[in-house]
Amino acid sequence: MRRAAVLLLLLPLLTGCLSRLELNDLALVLALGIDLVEEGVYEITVGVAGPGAANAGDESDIRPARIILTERGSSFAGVLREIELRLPRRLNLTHTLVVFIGERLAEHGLGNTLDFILRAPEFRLQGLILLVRGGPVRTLLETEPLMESMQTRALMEIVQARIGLEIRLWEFFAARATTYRAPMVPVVELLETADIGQKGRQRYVTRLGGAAVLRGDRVVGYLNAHEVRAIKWLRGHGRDGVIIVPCGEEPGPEHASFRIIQADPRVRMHVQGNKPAFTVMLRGRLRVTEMQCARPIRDRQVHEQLIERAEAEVRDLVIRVIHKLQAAGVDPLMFGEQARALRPALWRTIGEENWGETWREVPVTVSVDLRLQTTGLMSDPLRS
Amino acid sequence: MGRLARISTQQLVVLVYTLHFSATELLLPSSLARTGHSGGWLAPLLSFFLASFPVALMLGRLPGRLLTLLAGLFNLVLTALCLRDVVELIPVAILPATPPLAVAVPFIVVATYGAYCGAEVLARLSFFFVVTAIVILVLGITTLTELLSPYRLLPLWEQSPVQLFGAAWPTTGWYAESWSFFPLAAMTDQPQLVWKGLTLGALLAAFHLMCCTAMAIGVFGHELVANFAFPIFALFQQITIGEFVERLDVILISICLLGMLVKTAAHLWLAAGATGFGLGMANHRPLLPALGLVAVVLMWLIPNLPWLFIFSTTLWIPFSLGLGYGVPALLLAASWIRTRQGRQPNMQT
Repeated sequence: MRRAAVLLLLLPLLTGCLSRLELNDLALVLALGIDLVEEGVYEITVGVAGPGAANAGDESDIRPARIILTERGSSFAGVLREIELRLPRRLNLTHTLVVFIGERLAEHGLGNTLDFILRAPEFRLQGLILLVRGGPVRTLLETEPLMESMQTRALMEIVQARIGLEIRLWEFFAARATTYRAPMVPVVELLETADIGQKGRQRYVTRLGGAAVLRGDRVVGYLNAHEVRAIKWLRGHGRDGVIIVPCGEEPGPEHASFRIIQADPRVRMHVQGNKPAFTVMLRGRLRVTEMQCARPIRDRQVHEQLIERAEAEVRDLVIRVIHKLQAAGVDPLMFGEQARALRPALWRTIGEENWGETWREVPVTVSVDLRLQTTGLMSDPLRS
Repeated sequence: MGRLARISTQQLVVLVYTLHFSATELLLPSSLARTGHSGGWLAPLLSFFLASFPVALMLGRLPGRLLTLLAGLFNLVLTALCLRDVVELIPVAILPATPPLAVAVPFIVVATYGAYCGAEVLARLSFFFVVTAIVILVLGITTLTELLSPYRLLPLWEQSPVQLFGAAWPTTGWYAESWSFFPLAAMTDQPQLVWKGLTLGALLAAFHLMCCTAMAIGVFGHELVANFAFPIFALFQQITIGEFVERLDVILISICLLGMLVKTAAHLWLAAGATGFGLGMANHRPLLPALGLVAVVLMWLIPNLPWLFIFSTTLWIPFSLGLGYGVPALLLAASWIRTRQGRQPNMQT
C-alpha cells in the first residue's frame, strides 16, 4: 500500500512547469469575432478583459475594463500572432464566452473558417455563437452595455435568462457536421439609437433578435424574435415564454398575457405512403400575468376561451415557422434526426443529402394543449 | 519472473479493467463513430465477446504455461504505444508548451518504478483508477444527460450488422491483447477464478467504454465524434455545474494519466518478466530501466498522432488478433495434449 501511495504522490511531479503561464502574462479573450472583408480576407476582432475589468464599478479606476483589437488577414493563427505583436501579453482563448460571426461572412459562406475553434484545445465549445447584423463585430463590442461592464457578458446574461435562443458552439458544430440538420445561429442586432449609455452618447445599442438558419455553411433565412419562440418550444425550451391574446369577448385592443411555466414538446413520426409525416404535440401550463379586460378568469367559459386563443396563437406560430423552414428546405430541429433514427430503411430511400428537398413536402400536424396552472396573486381582475 | 507476490481475483479484475479501458477511452471512440456511426457505441460490447471473452476462457483453463520472448516484445511495443498516447494527449489537453521528452521521461521513470514494485502494487493503484473513473462517469451521466439526444444513438446499424462488426474491429484487436495478461493470471491466488476475473475486468472496461462512446455520440452526433481526436475529452469539457464547477476535463486527464501509468507500468512489468524468463534470468528487475529506455526509443520512432491513430486502429489489429487468438489456442492445445498424456499442467510456471 505504501508503494501505491508513493506512486500516486509521484504523479503530480510529472506536470513540471514548462507550460506555466502566469495570470499577469495573459490577455483573457472573452469575445471573438470573425467577418469577411473580401474573398479570402477576414477581419478578426478580439475582446479582451482589460486590467480594470475586476473593478468595473469603481469610478476611480481609470484602467480599461475591456480592450478591443482588430486585425485583418487570411488565417486565424496569423491574425492572432499579429494581434499579439501589439499586446504585451499572450492571448488566452480559454475563457472565450461568445464567438461572433459577421453577417457578410455568414451570407457568403463560413467554409472552414471556424475550424480553429474545433482544433484549439483551449476552446471548450461551451461558449455561445451569435451572428451580428447591422454593423461590424467591433462596433458591437464597443457599445456600452446596460448594467454590465462588457457587452459580451451582457449578451451572455440575456441568453442565459432563457429569453433568447441559446446555441452553444458544440450544438452548432454538431449540426454543421451533418448534411441533414441545419445549423442555427441566434442573431444580435446593432440598432441605431439616441439613448445615452454609461459613458456618454453612443450611436448603437445591441438587441438579441431572432435567429439565422444555415444550409450547409451559409445563411438561407432569418427568423424574427417572435418566430424564435416557436423554435424554443420545439426544442423543449419553451418555458418562460409569454403568450399574448385578445382579452375581450370579441378580439379588441385589450389583452391577456400568460407566462409559460411548463412546456413539453412531443414529436411523433409516422409514414404516409413513402414519405415521413410528423405530429407535433405541444403541452404546456400557463400562469396569468396580465388581464387588461374586466372579465372573470375564474369563470369557466372565460377561462376556456382565453386558453383556446392561447392555443391557437401558439399553433399558428409553430405552423408558420415550420412552413417557413420547409419553404427554405432546412430542418434545424429534430425531424430529420428522428426519421434517420427510427426509420433507417425509409431514410436510405430518401438519402441523407436529399432530406432538405424531402422536408419541403413533409406533412406536419400541430396540436397544442395548454392548461391554466395559476392566476398569479390575483384571481379575477378588479371590477370584473 | 523472480519472486511472485499473489494477487486476488478482485485485483485481477481491476487491473484487467485498467489495462483495457485507460487507453481505449482516449483513442477509440472516434474510430467507433467513424465506422459504426450512430450504433458505434455498441461495438465495445461486441468486441468483448469477440476477443476478451474467448481469450479469457482459453487462458483461464491454463493460467501461465509459457513465457516467451514474443510476449516480452509484444508488451514492450504496448509500453511504447501507451507512452506515445500520453505524450500526444498531455500537450493537447493541459501542458501545451511542454516538449514530448519532458513528458515521456518522467512518465517512464515513474512507470518503471511502478513496474519495479510489481503487479500487486499496480493492482492496488488501479483500485484508485477504477473508483475515480466510475465517479467521473457518474458525474458525466448526471450532468450531460440533459444535452443528450437518444435519437443520435439510433439506428444501431444503417445497412446491415456487418457495419457493427466493422466498428468493433479496432476494439476487438485491442481486447485481444489480453493474451499477454497470462502472467497476471498465473499470479492469482485462486486459479479456478482466473477466467472469471479476466472476463469481468474486460466486461467492465467494455461497458464503460460503451457508456462513454454512447454519451459522446448522443451529445455531439456520430459525425462530429468521428472527427474529434479525443471525443471523451471534448465531452467532459461540456460539464458545468451551476456555472461554478467547470473545467472538469483537467480532472479527467489526471485520472486518465493515472490509468495510463498503471497500464504502462503493467506492460513494462510484463515485458520485463517475459524477457527475463526467455533469457533464463532469476530476477527480471534489472531489465526494467533498459526496457524503459527501449520503450522511449520505440515511442520516439512513432512519427505523429495521425500515424498513431492509423497504426492503432488498422495495422495493429491483425497482428494483435493473430497473437490474441493464436497464443492461447496453442497453450490450450499443449495443455490438452499433456492431459491426454496423463500429465498435469504446472499452474505455477
